[in-house]
Amino acid sequence: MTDRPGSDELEPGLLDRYLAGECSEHEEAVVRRHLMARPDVARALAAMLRQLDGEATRPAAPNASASWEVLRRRMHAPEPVAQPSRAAPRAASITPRHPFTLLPARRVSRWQRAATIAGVAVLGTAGIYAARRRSDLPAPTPRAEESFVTANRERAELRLSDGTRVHLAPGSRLRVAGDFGETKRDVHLDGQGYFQVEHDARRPFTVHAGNAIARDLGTEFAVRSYGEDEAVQVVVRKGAVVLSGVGRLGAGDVGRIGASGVASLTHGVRVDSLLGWLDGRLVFRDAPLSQVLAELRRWHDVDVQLADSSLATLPFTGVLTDDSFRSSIDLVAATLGLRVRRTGRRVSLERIGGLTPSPDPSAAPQPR
Amino acid sequence: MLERLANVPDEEPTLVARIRAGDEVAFQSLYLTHHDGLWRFAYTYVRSRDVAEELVQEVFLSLWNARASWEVTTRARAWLFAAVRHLALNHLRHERVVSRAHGEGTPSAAAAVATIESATMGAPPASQHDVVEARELDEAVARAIAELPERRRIAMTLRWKEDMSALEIATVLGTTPEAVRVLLTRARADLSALLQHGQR
Repeated sequence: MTDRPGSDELEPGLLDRYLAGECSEHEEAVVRRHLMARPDVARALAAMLRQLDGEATRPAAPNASASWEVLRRRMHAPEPVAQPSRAAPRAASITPRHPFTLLPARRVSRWQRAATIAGVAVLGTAGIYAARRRSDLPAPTPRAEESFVTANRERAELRLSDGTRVHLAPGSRLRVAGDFGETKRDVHLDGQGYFQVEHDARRPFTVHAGNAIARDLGTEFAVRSYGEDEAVQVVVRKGAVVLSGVGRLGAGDVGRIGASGVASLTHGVRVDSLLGWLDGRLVFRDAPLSQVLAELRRWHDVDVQLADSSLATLPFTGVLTDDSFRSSIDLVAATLGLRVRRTGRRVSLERIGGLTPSPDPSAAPQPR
Repeated sequence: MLERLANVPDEEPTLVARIRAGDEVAFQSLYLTHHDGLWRFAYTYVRSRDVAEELVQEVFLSLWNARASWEVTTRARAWLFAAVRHLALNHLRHERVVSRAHGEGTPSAAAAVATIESATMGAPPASQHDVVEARELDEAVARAIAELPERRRIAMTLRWKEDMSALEIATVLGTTPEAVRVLLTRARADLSALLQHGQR
C-alpha cells in the first residue's frame, strides 16, 4: 500500500464533525474524497458506525403506536399487569381442548437464513401437526393422548383444558395423557417447560420427565429434561411441588435428579436466572461448553463444532440472549478466549493461535 | 467544536408544561417521537427486544405517575435517555454481573485487534473475499466496541448516531459538557487507532 505521510491526514475534528453531520458542504467533500482514496479506512469507518449501537445485529424496534396502546392501558391500570403475556395472535388454536400457540419465530439473521429455511417453512403448520399428532396406542375408550412439539428455534404457549398454562422451550415435546382432567392430570415432558398450574387437590397435576415425577401443590414451576447427560431439574417459582426421590420443594428451591438417580435439593436459589429462558435469556453458571452449544442449537438451530474435543468441558458463565446467534457465539468465544471460525454455513470454535492440528481423532476433518 | 445549545424545538417547553398538567395527548406525542430512539438505546445495553421495550415503557410509566414534578433542564430527550440508561444499568447489574469483568487486556481485546488486522491487511485473495472480509471486519469492530468503557461508547453513540450535543450527552451521563468533550476526544483517538489498522 502507498505510504503517504501526514499531508494526507484529515484536519483534527473534521471527521467528528462529519460523523455528527455538522460539516459544511465543502468539508464534507474533503472527507468524502479522503475516504474514497482509502477504501480500507472507509470500510473500517462504516463497520464502526454499523456496530457502534448494534445496528448490524439488532432486531426491528417494536411498533411505536402499538407500544403506545400497551403503555396507555398500563397508565390507566392501577395494578401492574399480571402476566407479561407473550401470547402471539398468530395462534393456531386447532384443538378445542388444548389451545396451542406458537410464539413468533426468532429473527433470522441474513447469513443464517439459508440454514434455517426448512425450519421456518414448517413454522406455520407445526401447530396443526403437533396438535393432531396421536399416540400409536389404539386407545379405544378414552380420548387419545395429544402431543405438542416445538422444533429448534420455536417456543410455544399452551393452555390445557383445566386452565393450566404451559410455556414450552425450543426442542421440546409435551404429551398430554388421554384421560387428562377427569381424576388426574398427567403430562410427559421431554425438553423444557414452565407450568402455571390451576391447583386442584382432587385431581393432582403431575409432570413425568425422564426418571423424575413432579407433582404440583399449587404452583408455578419449570421442569427441564433434555436427556443427554443432563440431570432432570425442577425449579419452583411459587407454591410447592413434590419431586420423586427428593421430597417437597418450595419457592426458590431447585431439585435435580441425575441420570444415575442421585437426587439433590438446593434452597434459596435466584430462580429468575434459571427461568430467564422465558424471556429469551439463557443464563449459564459454570456450564460446560458442550451444554452451552446444545442450548444454542435448540434456540438458534445452528450447530457449532469444536475444533478440539478438549474444549467441551470449558466452563462458561454468562448471559446469552436469544435474539442474535452471532452475538451469542461471539460472547461465548470472547469469554473463553476462543475464536469463531465460519466456513460457509459451518461454525466452529477453536483456540486462538491453535493452528496445530489436534491429535484427537474426533477432530479429524469431516466431509462437507 | 460546534456547540448546539439552541437545539431545543420551540414547542418543547409547551409540551413539557402540558404533560405536567396531565395532558395525555401531549404525552402520547412525546412517546411516539422518542420511542424508537430510546428503544435502540436501551437495546445497546440489554440486547433483547422485549427487555428494551419494557425499559422504555417503565420510564414513561414512572414519568406519567410523577408528571407533576417533572423537571427538564436541557431537553426532554436528554432526560429520557438518562432515565433509560439508569434503568438499563440497573437491569444489567441485576442480571449480568460475572463473566465479562475480567478487566483490561482480556484475550478478546487482543483477538479483536488481531482479527481487525487480518481482516484488513492479510485478507484472503480477491475471489470470494469481499463478503468474508466485511463480516470479519464487522465482528472485529463489534468486539473492539464491546471493549470500550460504557461512557465512551455511549458518548460516541449519542454523538454520531443520535446527533446529540455535548450538553445533552452530559445530561444523559450525569456529567459536564467538558467531561463529554474529553470522552469524545478519547473516542476520536480510539477511532483513529481503529482506522489505522485499516491504513497500514
